Amino acid sequence: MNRYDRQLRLWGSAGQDLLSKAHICIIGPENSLLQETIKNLVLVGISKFTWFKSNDAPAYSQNDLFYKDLIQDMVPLNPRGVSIIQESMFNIHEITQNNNFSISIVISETNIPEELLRELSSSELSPVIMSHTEGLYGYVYTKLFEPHWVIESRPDYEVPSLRLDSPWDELREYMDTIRFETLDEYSMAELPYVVLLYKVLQHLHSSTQIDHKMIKDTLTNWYVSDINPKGTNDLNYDEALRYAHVALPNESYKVGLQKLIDFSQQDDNDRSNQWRDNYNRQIVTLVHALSIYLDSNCGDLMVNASIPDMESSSKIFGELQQVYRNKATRDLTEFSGVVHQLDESIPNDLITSFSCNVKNIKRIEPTARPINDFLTDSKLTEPYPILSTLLKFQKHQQVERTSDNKSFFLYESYPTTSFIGGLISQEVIKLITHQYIPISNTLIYDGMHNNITSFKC
Amino acid sequence: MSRDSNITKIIGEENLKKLRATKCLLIGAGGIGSELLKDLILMEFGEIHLVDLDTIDLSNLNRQFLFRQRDIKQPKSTTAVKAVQGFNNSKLVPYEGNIMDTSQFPLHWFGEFDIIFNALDNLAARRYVNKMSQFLSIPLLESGTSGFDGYMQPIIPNETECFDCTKKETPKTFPVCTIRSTPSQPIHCIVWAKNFLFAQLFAADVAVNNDSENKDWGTTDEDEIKRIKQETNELQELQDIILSGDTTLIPNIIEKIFIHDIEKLLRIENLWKTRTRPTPLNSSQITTDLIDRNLDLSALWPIQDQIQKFSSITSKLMKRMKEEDNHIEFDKDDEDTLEFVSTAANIRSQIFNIPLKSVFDIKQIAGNIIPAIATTNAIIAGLSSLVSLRVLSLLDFAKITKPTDLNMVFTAKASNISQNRYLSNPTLAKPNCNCPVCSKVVRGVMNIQSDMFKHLKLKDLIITLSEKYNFDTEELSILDTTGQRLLSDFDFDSLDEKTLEEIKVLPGSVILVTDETEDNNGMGLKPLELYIESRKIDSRKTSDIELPDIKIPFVKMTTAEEEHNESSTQETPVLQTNEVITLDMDDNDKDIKKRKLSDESSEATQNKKSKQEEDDIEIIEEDDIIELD
Repeated sequence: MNRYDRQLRLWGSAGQDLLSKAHICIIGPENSLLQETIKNLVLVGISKFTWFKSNDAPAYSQNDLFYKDLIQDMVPLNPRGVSIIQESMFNIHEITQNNNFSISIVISETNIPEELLRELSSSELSPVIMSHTEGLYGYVYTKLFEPHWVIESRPDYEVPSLRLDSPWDELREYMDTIRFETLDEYSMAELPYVVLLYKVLQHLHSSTQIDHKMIKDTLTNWYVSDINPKGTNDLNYDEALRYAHVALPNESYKVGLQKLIDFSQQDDNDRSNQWRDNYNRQIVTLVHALSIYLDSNCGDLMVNASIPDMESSSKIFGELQQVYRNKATRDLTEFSGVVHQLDESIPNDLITSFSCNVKNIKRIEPTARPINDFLTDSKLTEPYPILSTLLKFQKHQQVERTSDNKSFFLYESYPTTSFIGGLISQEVIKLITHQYIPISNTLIYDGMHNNITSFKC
Repeated sequence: MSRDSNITKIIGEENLKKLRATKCLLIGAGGIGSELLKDLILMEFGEIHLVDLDTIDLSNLNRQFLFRQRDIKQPKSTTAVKAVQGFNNSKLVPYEGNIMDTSQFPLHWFGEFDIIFNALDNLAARRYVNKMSQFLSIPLLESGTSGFDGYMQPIIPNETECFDCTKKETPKTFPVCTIRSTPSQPIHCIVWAKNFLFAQLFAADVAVNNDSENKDWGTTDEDEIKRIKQETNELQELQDIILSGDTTLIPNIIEKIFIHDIEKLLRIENLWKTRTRPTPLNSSQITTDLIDRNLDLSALWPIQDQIQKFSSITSKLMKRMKEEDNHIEFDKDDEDTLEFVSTAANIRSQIFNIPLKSVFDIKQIAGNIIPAIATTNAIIAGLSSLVSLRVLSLLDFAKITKPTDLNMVFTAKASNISQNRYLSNPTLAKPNCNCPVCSKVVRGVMNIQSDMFKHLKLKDLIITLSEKYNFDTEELSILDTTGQRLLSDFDFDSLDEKTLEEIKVLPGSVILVTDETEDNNGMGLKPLELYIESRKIDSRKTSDIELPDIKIPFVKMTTAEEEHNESSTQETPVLQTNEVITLDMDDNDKDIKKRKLSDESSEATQNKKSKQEEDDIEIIEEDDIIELD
């Protein structure tokens, strides 16, 4: 079928499309970490690289390298071809000006030139990942220059929001057509659990503060005792107890979402169209549109078209699903209208995806400190002896002989390279696809104990 | 400075010699296997032996970087070795074959290796290799990945917990009646289409035996059982149509399975008291159009397209049957078989008011596809190859004082990490004292002259064993663990006069010998598990059977019932945590490891569990046959 079948299942064709269009800037000498990183990125489908190859010869011999001719050896790994353009460091200024790199990766570079640092500090730059390994140790540092937005953060679990506590007219009317008093025990066993929960909420209507326990108690004491005494063994009753929390208003997302909205409004005032990354720009516009939508919809989010699978007769499930679908379609149309008033160019797929994931949208904030601080400010890395030693090795500085674990740094460890190369590539995938949450922002690997330390700087 | 002197300086001359003399067994040349092979070569291990039974497929190429487009359909092991031939520092030996094949890979063959790397994709082989490593006390590095996540576990026999010390989730099975009569989810229809319909029409060699009285049908409704049996017989007739190659009969097949069979079901009133009644196809929907059209595999096709596609693909498969020896196996990467299963499942779903699915989605479920990417494989192979140096004590500066100092690693939610949680690295636990594999038995190898299998009787074996280990012949039971067959015990001796060959106790068999004698304190001899080999026996020895010199310890004996209780406690997590991580491994694997980690709220745990339950439902084992016989 498809060469990328196994990974499309992780990030879909939208993600794969972004990867295949990406242009990666690599800075560093040809060492095994650089080879591993490029190999992994080519395998996932990235085909365009510009490599500023420094002549900073590695201390070890060419025997360490898996690929004897990297540029040639990469070609068969992508059927659409691979272009790795090698450039001299001298031209770095000019080339970075004229190219819109998706990401820059700096690997084991000893002398990071002033021009580059100046480039990297300007606000219009793509994310920069820096990394180095030595012996059993390695670090990966990510510098973002603008907030990174993720729509598909892919949480492990999500509470469905079914609006049982604040039904719209069509849902209320549908629920009202189902009347317990007209149903026998068999028909009641066929009702989806959301209907039972809705009825429980109606029954509790007078109560001011409804909690999880009250819903369960009402299921037991009212539904089973008064309405359907034979219902205790029904699967829908089990499900209603298990998913009782679905009936409660779930507003935990609101605080986070409000922050994103505040940010987008501020952004609208401050720096419109300043976004480097088009994807980020589009999402900020979508969040802005969302705030307008919420204002005219009493704060209710767009309804999701899909409802979870549940025990039910197919007929009622189908009808219920239709009620949600109708509302979802109406909401999406309205929201799309708002979005397109702000920006006509935003594609419908993105609007739909935004709408479905609206509760899980994440914004990763960049750190304020410039890259140069990370490289040179010893106070910053002091609490992390492994990191400061790694940076010394990277910069070819004298490393104290007394250092306890010096020998751990001396062992040539290809496995560590393989590990860190995999990790860098994984972060690149997350940043380019805008799916899954990237590491924020520094990670130190200790291969001796397979321990990871991470911090923000 | 030459590389060799450089490396000598770092790991020392003695360790370098050891490294160069080390023989590694790498099982699996897939995602993790390719990465491991590269890492082990660059680490300059002396010998690497690579085993894989599989051939290369297009969907492997996004991560199995040693393979090229032109290598598709070539064996993985030999192709991988060819790809890295430029590195002549290590001796490389490829094998095409199933690691569980005892004639190609007898126990003593495993015995040649210093360390085993598992880069497998299925539970059965993982378990088997684990057992071999236990027989021979060879360290094993187990690993697996699923999407962004993976794990690596060193196993040091007798010192640390083995692969079977924690219970592995087994694939979800469904009651026969759910699959055959009352499906309610897409998965039920997919299982029906793949394991029942497809298997019966294209891959069944022998008539299905319906007479088994002990069969658990998942229902006691006599009418329904009768119907299921009858339907199976009728399927035989459908198979005959397929074999006839007469494509004009395809409408008859559709009519039978999607109209008549459903009408028959509808007549069993009991089934529909609490369920929605299915709606059979309308005979006007049946088409004679057999043209094969290209449709978008990730789209949802309308029912009429499903029926048309079902007809055209059936005709295509009928033609293939002729060329392929009247036998086609379902293979998720064989598009014809996948489309047959997808359309059959969808038509059935439509009939039972179940949502339809795209071919792309059905492929994932029917093929039990686990997402796989290059990066995770690189990460896990890196972890596995690095720890091998510590397991083999090749790092003087990082000596381990005891094996339980080693770490296992999970990349815990690399896809959604919080700070400091990219890896979790608990140290290894001691063997689980209730583990049926590593703790409940003593193990050894029994050697029998190859020409003696047709002369030696089971009785002779019993006598020899009893003499050697002081067993009480009256209380001795012998079990063939491969087929779980009882060979002999105190009230079953009818096989005692048979020869080993007759009772199929052959080289590669594993037998479990238990002396059930108990003393007053309930103590007795620990059961003995023997792997049977046939190698040349020193001519000076008089016996035809060579038994290992082991002292069998006295242990507290347990009754079968206690045994059962104990094994059910195995799920107790070895690690102190409470987040449930579930991992499927590499390609087609379905086994799931449950581990618990700290500092997740209990609510999150519950949430994950319910998610887990959903996931379980969608897992079918590649070669798991829903019990239909």
